[in-house]
Amino acid sequence: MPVIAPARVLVHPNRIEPNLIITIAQPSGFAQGLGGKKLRQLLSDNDKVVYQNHVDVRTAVAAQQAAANVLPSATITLDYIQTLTYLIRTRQDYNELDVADAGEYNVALPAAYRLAARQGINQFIRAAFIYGVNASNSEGIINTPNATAVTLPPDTFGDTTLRTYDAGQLAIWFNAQIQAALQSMFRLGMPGRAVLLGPQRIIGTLQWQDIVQVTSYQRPGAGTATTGQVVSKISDENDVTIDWAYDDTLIGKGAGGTDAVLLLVPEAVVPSIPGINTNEFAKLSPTTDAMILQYTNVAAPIEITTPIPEGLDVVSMQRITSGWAPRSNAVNILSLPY
Amino acid sequence: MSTISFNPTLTTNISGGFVLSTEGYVQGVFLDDPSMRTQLEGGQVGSGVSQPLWGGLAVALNVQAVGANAQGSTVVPATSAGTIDGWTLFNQGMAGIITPSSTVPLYAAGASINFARNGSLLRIAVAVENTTILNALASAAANVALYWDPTNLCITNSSSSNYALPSNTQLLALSATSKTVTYSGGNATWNATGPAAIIRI
Repeated sequence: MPVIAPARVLVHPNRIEPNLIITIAQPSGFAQGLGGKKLRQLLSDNDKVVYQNHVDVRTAVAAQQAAANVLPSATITLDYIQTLTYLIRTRQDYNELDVADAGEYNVALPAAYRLAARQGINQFIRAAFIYGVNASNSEGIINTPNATAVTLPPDTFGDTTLRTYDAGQLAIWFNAQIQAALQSMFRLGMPGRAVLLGPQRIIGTLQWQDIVQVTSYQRPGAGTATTGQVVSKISDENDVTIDWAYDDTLIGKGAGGTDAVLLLVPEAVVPSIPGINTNEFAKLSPTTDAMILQYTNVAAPIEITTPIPEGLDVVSMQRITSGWAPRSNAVNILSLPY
Repeated sequence: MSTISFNPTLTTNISGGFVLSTEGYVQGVFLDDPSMRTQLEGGQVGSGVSQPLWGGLAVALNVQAVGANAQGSTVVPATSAGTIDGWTLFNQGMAGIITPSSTVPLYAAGASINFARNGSLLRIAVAVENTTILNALASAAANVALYWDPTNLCITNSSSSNYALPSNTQLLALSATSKTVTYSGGNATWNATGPAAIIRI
């Protein structure tokens, strides 16, 4: 796309402030939801599909006081899963006249074009993570097959929206969702991290406004803490860190047009117990603790700069996958009416 | 003629990634036994078979054309009690095809498939129709009458429109948390906690 750096009508004498006013876009917190908080940089430039192998086992033993010889067997089954990769590309053409015109506004055009290309690519990576490049093919975290989807039920006073909900009951509801997610992964009692990725108006209300009301009986945070603080504090006391992350594209993306909040458990430390471990098979390696994945080939887009007649052509590109949760337990889609 | 479908674009994930216990069996395998393992035979899925085969199915084992013996018996689904000659098995059958959407090895028409004949005395894991029948079979005698359900492709205790298994079939063990096969829309997938039985054939 071109640059529009038109001629200005100015009155003399004047003073032009040297600093620019730049449009601020929301810096999405989506990457908090990735295992290790970053994209897995494992792709080659040309890889079209990512596969991951899956090993499962069923075990059986015989137990008698003396030895018999007809014994059962363990059976190991192997299969695999897949997600597609997409090459994101964008192009800028410019010449020294464009650079000079933008320079009249104190804008370094090559740098502005580079950052613009990266912003476009990064915003697409965010969309691919949450919603998938092709939603109908189960791409994107919000389309994870078999993910848990929960809608906020009315509180005991019949309030159904976040702004009217009883703050203490809301905290307990969030804690219940976190417990359910960790419980389904046998993670209770183990240190870890959970991410609540949602719109600012939801997460912000939890953090700033929803002060737990004082009641005739004592409850956590009554009169002193917000829903968000109660959730964080109780999780901290259970060795689970809550990362609050913001992305306003989730407004209206929940069930029935409600706001979606994604409760993600990005890393699965393989649960184990010292001594006799009934999860011994999971010691098989190599394995990864990353539960929520998005792949890339480069840490920042590749730039290919080519001289063209009277100027330069810059193509920026990066290959990625959509957000991918090989184990659906890591993804919980909470729908909250605002 | 059966073929195996392939969806190249669908993003998939695993099911049953967290289970309480792994105790159980996997449909379509025989339990390891150093003296019996040589009973495992190889054959070829019949050219007229309309749906791919997998392990743990009751099949007829037909003789090949004169002189065409190298590929073993022709394996086709059993069509009556009298045609249950043996059972398909996954053991060593690594030529079975899986895709990300269809994670159970499938053997299409013309494919090599392994099986065991009745009378081989192998102990094989087969799917049971449902947990109600599984529970009804608990405490049964080893020679309890068992039937092959040709629609749901599993064993059952009801004779209604099903095929009786050979009378020397013995029921050895039952499990409600085994891996069984679900076939739908051209895809065969593992059910992580299905009902299964060990039978000696």
